[in-house]
Amino acid sequence: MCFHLALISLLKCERSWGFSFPATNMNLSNPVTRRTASAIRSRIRLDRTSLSMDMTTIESASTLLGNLPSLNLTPGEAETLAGPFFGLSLFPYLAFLYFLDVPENETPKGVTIGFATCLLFVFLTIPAAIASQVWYGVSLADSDWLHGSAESLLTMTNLVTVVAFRQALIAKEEGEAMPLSATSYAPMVKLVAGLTALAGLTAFVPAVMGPEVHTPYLGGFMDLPKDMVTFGHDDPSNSLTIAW
Amino acid sequence: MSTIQFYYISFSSVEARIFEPHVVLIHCSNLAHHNSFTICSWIIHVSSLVEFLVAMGFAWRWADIVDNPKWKGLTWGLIPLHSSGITACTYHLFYNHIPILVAFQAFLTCVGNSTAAYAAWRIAVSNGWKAPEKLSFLNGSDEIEAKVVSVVDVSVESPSPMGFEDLGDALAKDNDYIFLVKLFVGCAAASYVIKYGELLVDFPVVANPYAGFAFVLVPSLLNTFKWYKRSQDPAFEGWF
Repeated sequence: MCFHLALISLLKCERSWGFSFPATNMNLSNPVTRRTASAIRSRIRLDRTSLSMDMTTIESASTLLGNLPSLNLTPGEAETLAGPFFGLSLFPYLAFLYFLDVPENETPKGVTIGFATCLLFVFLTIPAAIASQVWYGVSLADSDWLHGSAESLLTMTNLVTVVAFRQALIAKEEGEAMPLSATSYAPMVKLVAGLTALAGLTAFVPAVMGPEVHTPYLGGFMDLPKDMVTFGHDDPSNSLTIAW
Repeated sequence: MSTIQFYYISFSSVEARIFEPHVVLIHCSNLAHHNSFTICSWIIHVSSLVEFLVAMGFAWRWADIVDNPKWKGLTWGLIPLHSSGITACTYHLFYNHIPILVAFQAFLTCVGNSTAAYAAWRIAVSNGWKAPEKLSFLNGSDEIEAKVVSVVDVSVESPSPMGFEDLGDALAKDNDYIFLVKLFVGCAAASYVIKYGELLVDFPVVANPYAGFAFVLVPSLLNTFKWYKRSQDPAFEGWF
C-alpha cells in the first residue's frame, strides 16, 4: 500500500509536490508527469510478475484516496480538540515522575530532574502563548522569537536528561563511583536554573526592544544572509525547475 | 516552483553609482514562505528530537547495565512522546498549516505520558517498591514478578547498535562539552537542510492532512520496528 501511495504522489505531482491526492484523472499533458508516468510504467512492466500491478490499480487506489474523509480542521477546532488532551496529560506525567523517582529504582537523580524540567517548559510556555495571542493575535508557533525561546526550554529539558543519564551510564560502565549528578539533585537543578535564565534572556532582550510578530529568534543568528534568499513570484519559463 | 540561481551575480543598486553585487543562493517563488522558521528555531526543535532519541537509547543501555529489562519498557513507553515531537516538527514543516496535527500531538502527549507512567510503575514494582496500604492495587501481582524473572533469564546484553539514539554510544569517549558540541553541529546541519531544503523545493503551504500524518507515521513506525528488532535480536544494528 505504501508503494501505491508513493507512486500516486509521484504521478500526481504537477508543478510542485502534489500532496492533494485529488480524485481526478492524471494530467498527462504535463511533460514532467508524463515522463514520470512512463518511467514508472516501464519499471512496473519489468517487475510485473512480482508486483502484479498496473496503472488501473494505481488509478483506482487514487480514486479511493480522493474519497477519504477530509481532515481539514480550522485552527480553532483543532485547539478545542487538543485542550482536554493537554490538560489530562499532566496527571500521568506526575505519576511517571513519581514512579521514576521511587528510591527503590536508584534512578540517577539528575535524570529525574531532567524529566521534571518538562513541567517547567509546559508552565513557562503559557505566558509565551498568552503574549503571542494578546500582542499579535497569532498562536505561539507563528511568532518566531516567542516560540523559539519557549521551545528552547524543552531542548534544555532533554539536554539535562541526556547529560545526567550519560554521566551515570559512563560511571556504571567504567565501574567508577556514581557522579554527583546521579546521587544529588543539586548539580542538574543548578544547570536547569542557569539554562532557564539564559532562555529567559533570549525572550527578555527582544521584549524590551519593541519586537514584532516575526522578529527572528536570537536575531536570526546563523541564518543565511537575507540577500542570498529571495521570495516572490517570477516568470517560471526562465527559471531552473526542481522537478519532484 | 522553485529556482536555484547558484552564484548568479545580481547588481542591486540603491543609486546608480552604488553597485553592490550579491549572490542569490535560493529563490523561493512563494512569498508566504518568507516567515519560515529561523535556523536557530529549527536547531532547537531538531535537537529536542535527537536528544529524546538519545535518552531512549540510554534507557535501553541502562536496562543492560543494571540488569533490569523493565528499563527497556521505558524506551517503549517513550515512543509516543517521540512521535508527539515528530508531529510538532511536521506541523512546523508544513508552515503550521495542518491544524489537526495540533490535536494529534496533544493526543500523543496524553498517550505517551500514560505509557511512560506505566513503564515507570513497572520499573518501580520490579525493584520491590510497595504502594501505601490504601493503594495496594498498585503493587502488581506475583504473576508479573514471575514473568520478570523469565525475561531476565533470556535477556542478553545488547551490543552497541547504530542509530540516532546511539549517538550516545558513538560519542561515549568524549567529555560532556565535546559531546554537546558534536550534537549541536549535527543538529545545525540538519536544520540547514530542513529550512533551506524546503524553501528550495517549495514545500506546499496548503497541505493535505494525510501527507502530514504520513510524515509522522513513517518515522514512528521505523523507530518502533527498530526497537522491536533489537528486542528480538540484540545484535541488530538498526538503520538510522
